[in-house]
Order: sequence, then C-alpha cells, then structure tokens
Amino acid sequence: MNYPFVMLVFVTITSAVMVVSHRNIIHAAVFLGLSFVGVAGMYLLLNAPFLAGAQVLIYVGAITVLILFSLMLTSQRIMREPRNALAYRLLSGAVAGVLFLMLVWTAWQPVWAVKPEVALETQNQVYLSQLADGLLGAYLLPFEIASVLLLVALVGAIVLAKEEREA
Amino acid sequence: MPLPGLSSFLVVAAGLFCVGVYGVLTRRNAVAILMGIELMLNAANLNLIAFARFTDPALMAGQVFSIFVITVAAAEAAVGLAIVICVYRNIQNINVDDINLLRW
Repeated sequence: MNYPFVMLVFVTITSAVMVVSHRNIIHAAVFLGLSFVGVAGMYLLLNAPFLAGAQVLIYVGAITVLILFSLMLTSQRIMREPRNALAYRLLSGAVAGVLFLMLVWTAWQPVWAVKPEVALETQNQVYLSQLADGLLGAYLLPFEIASVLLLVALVGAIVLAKEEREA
Repeated sequence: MPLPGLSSFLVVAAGLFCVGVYGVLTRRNAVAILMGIELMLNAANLNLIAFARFTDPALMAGQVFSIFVITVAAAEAAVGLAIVICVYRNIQNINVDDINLLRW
C-alpha cells in the first residue's frame, strides 16, 4: 500500500470531478489547478522531477491563470452555468463510464502487469543530463519545431484577441 | 513503500481522461470545455510518463515526448482562449449552444 499514491489519486480524481460538475465556473477553474498539482505529485512518484516542476510552472502557474483571466473577461454574467437536460447528462455519463470500463479492462491485461523491477535511484544530475541529451540530441528537430509552434501560437493569440479599432 | 504497478497508473489516467470526456460532453461554457480538454491532455501525459518509467527507465523518450505534449497544450490553451475572447467580443456570449453564426 503506497499511501502517497492513494492520496494523490484521491486529490486528482476528486478535483477533476469537481471541475466538470461544479456550478460556479471560477471554483471549477481553481479545482482544475488542484488536479494539476495532484498529477505533478504523481510525476514525482514516477521519477520525473523535472516534469513535475514543468507541470507546476506551466499548468498550475500559466494555464490555470490564463483560464481564470479569460473567465473574468467573458463570463461575468453567467458565473452559474445553466445545466444541460438530465437525460443528456446521463447519456454523457454513460458514454464516459463505458469508455472508462473499456480502458480499465485494457489496462488490466497481463501484458501491462509490469512491476517496477528497476530500482532507478539515479542522481538528479544524471537524470537531468539524460533528459537534456534526449532533447538536444535525438529529438532536436521536434524541439526546434516546438519553438516555432510556440512563436506561431503567440502571434496568433495576440492577433485574435487584439481589439480591432475602426480606422 | 513499493511503487504501484503500471496498471494502477493506467487506470488512474483512464479515470482522469473519462472525467475530462464527461466535462467536454456536458459543459456549455466554452472555457469549461477547454478545462475538460486540459484534463484529457494531462491523462495522456500521465500515461506517457508511466510507460517511460516502467518500460525504458534509462531512455528518456517518454519524458521528452510529454514535454512536447505540454508545449502543444500550452499553445492550444492560448489560442483557444483567444478565440473564446474574440467570439465573446462579437456575440457577447460564450455558450456553445448559441455560437451558431456559421449555421444557415
């Protein structure tokens, strides 16, 4: 029994459920940040401290704040979102539930019953240099393309959100 | 404390993904739908890192790939929210049932 894992799963899944079900949409956005923190903790358990830090910085620090700002800019009058019809919600829940059961059935196939046999006690230095070798070695081209993608997204977001002034 | 097996992480990621699917299907506010998409992207990232940890701990392919997923997710969130703000400026509403300008 791994108590940190159980607690992280509880935090992540509970706040994810609150994200999709809370009527007040600002509260839903804050719960989204909490869910991201839980996922970052699971990255730590999985020996990915750099990604846990990136998760906290990018998702919790940037994307949640971006979502909160756009909610304040767009939804002042409809903080309490109207719900869809009960039948529609039940149907969506059934779709998500069936998908979940299928995924769980797949995940419990014996081929995925891998135990953490390698006690990977790498030092942080070794880990980071391996990650850097991957990013700037074998995956250099995707790395550069990602930078161009970020530039394009930056320009596109500014152009879309900029107020058009009548000349 | 022993780390739980790969299947446990896959099940958690599946749960997170399905919660995101439910949110995308039932929410009406466009920003809330984007929140559901972010949950689904996080589930995919969790899968990638779990596979990286359990199948090739020496290679960093899974972690590098999830860095790219985080990058694309950040770009998607920025552009998506800019589109939402642009729509709001035009029709003063971001309820996806009412955004039907392209329907004839």
